[in-house]
Amino acid sequence: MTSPKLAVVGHPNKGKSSIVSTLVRQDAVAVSELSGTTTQSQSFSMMVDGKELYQLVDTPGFQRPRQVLEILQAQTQDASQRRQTVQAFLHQYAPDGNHKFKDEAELLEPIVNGAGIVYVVDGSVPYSPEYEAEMTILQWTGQPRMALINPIGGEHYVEQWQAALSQFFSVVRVFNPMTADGDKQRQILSAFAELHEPWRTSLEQAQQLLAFHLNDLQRQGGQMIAEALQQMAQYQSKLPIVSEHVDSAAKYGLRHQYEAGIRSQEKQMQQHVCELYSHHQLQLENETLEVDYPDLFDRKSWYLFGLDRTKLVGLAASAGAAAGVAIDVGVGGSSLMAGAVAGGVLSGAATLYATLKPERLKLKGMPLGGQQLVAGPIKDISFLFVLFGRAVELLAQVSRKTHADRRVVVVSGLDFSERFNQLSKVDQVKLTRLLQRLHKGLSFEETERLKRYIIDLVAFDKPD
Amino acid sequence: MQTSVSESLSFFYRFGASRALFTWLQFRVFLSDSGWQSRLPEDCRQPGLTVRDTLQNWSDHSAEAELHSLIWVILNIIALLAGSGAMIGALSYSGHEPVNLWLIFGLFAVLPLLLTLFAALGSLLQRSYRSAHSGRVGLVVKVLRLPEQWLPYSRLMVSWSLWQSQSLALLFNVGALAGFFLVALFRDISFGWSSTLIEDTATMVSFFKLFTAPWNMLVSLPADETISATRFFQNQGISVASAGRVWWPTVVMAVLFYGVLPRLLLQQWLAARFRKALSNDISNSGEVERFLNGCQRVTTEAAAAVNEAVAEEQGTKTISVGSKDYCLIGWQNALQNKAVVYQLGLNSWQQDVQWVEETAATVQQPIVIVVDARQTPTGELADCIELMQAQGHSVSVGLLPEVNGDTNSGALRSWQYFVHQHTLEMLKVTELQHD
Repeated sequence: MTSPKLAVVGHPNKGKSSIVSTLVRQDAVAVSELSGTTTQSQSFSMMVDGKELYQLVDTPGFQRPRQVLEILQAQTQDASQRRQTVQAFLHQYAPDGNHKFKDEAELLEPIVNGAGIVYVVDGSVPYSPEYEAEMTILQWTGQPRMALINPIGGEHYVEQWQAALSQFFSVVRVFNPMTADGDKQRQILSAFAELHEPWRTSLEQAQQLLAFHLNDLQRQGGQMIAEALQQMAQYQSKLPIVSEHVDSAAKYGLRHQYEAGIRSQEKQMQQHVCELYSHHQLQLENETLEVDYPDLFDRKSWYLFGLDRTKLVGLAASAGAAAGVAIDVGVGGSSLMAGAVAGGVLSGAATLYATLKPERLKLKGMPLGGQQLVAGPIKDISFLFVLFGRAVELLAQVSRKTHADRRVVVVSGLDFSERFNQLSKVDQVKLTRLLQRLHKGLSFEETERLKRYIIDLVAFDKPD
Repeated sequence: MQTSVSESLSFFYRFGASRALFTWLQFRVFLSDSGWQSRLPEDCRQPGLTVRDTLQNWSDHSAEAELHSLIWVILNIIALLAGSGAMIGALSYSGHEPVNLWLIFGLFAVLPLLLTLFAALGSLLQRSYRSAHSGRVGLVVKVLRLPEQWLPYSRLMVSWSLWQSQSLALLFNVGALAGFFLVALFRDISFGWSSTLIEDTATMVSFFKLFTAPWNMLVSLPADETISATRFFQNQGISVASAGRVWWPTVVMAVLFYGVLPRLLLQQWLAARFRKALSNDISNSGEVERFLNGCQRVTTEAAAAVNEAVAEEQGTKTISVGSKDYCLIGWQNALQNKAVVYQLGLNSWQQDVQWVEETAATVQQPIVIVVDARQTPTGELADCIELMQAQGHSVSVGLLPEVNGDTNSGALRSWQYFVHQHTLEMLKVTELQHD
């Protein structure tokens, strides 16, 4: 079964593209404050799980409705011929032809081919008879149609519009594509379903799928942030050092390297969250993330394969024990596992001694260990709260932003404390403990809890 | 379950769990690059594709990282051979004495059981999200020659390596069992037990009863007399040589029940845990959703090109409504019922054309079409202006600001764009004078 298709039509610059963008959840729909930027009809599909729920056609605005109406009226004898007259008009003035009714042809073609009509008007400007020609033409097509009042600059004339539009359209709704949340979008789908009986089932299913989809996005966004926070909290920058004295320039350089690394990880997380919500072109403005914390630096030894000393000794002891087992087997077990024990102890002890001064460890001149200056992970809880707060605020903003809203998103964790205070005291303590453990890595269960906190915090309304 | 989740799971798991991990990590690495959308194969953007087909198209164009099969085969063979070798060695070293049951039970039943329990405990305590710099994962990546870009996803690698290490240990135990049968097939093996401290046979009978309890429904323990008869002393052998043969089913069951089965259970549990972690990652990480969003993204090039057009800022001359220097004509609602000679756009098109051709032709002053800043320019306005220009009139557009005196920047830019397109002058209309 083909999915419902609706052409979004109206006067130029009344927010048709914005409505399409919000309802198909794609920011690829070009939205411009310049009038007449949409010159060709373009179809956009609302996809969930690879399934097309419905199609919306973004169309150019009416440019010469009175002239078109006069042409149509001149060719029609009675009401029964109106639809055929519109078709004949399109035959005469094809969308790809070179004539002055190109915009009208572009917007009428999908309607004549079966698309429903969504007529868009601006609720902030008064109704005037000039729109009647447009509405009459749409009426002549005989297609199911509804009107959306887009309060671009306010709702001053909404009632006036409702009175006028209800004479031409069976369904009239107010819809602001810049602020419409998921519920509002589903209400519009419900209105679409009222238009045409054959669409009802698929559009009701679309409403359900959209609700599930939005829940999934929130869950996945929470998971994405929970994962990214752990990676950021465990992030380290390292600098090999050769002498006992570490100069401030080295520390300065390493701090910058660490700072750049953390910021890059945060930026990547932000990009992923935006892409998850199909905000591919969203512009973010990050307030600077400071990493100047007292516990930033540590001096550590490093060994082959990045193992620490304990692990290296453990590994060597295991290898020694394994070799000893081979001897035990060779002597038929009469050694009573003494080979394994001796192999383990000897190998472990030798490694313990060899790693006392790691900088001396070399294999064919290649160092196997040494000293290094390590920046991070920062265990300071205030830093972890800053990271967490910024991530939650980003998710809250991106998840609520409609695809028509192209304004820059400012990322800062400044307001996070107000959101955090909406949690119960017990949950505040539990969340703090989780954050304190971030740098060690969380178990699946802990990660799941962190994800739930993120989702709960995002769901809280931001206090004014 | 959502369609996209079930389809993506079936795609990633199509060649088993290990391949699923490698394909998934390769997929995540692909998506971690900020410019991944530009590297997306065109096949993935085809409309009407299912989730699975889209992922398949991506997979067809990406160099899929595989576990270095030779290394993996060698590791498996080593585990199998080590198990067989250990068992053959243990069974072969007997000299003139029977094979000591303590040795076989110790090496292939008790020790594997202890190691299995130790591994199970370690697995339980294992934290899922380990540092990307985790040494063990780094080692696994190096030894198996896997891509280093996978290191940030070490939590899955840890889970997978725990599962695989138990698979190798299981192979060791299976190898031991195979080694036993190999030797038993070609040699007569006599088992016995010996002890310096245990004098009482009854103690040994009790011990064996307890030890063989898990399988005594399947294979019964040798009789008390046989247990007693298979005790041997140094350099003496057992009293009834044939009695030693009755132990072999008990030895096999001991290896099976204490060596193989617990290891198999642990391996299966870790496999299930790994699959759960991987499936959870595929379902909840949002990566598939991100990928599909990128594939389904449509570009609006034609419109974007116009959008780029910069409306030129014009020096706006101001005129008052009552000015006698200009002939003011209203467009649609602008200055309705006020000082304009005619209101275009409100009647039929023919009436407007007729007025322009008959009345406007007599106008002497330059014409200013007064428009409301809240309106948007249309083709019909351009047509009216063209008609007047054809009569030799100088026509400008007079912008009437909104009630509060401001003009919405979008509307202003639209009008600027319009006058720029039609090579007109734009004026600002002020000082409203009512009739």
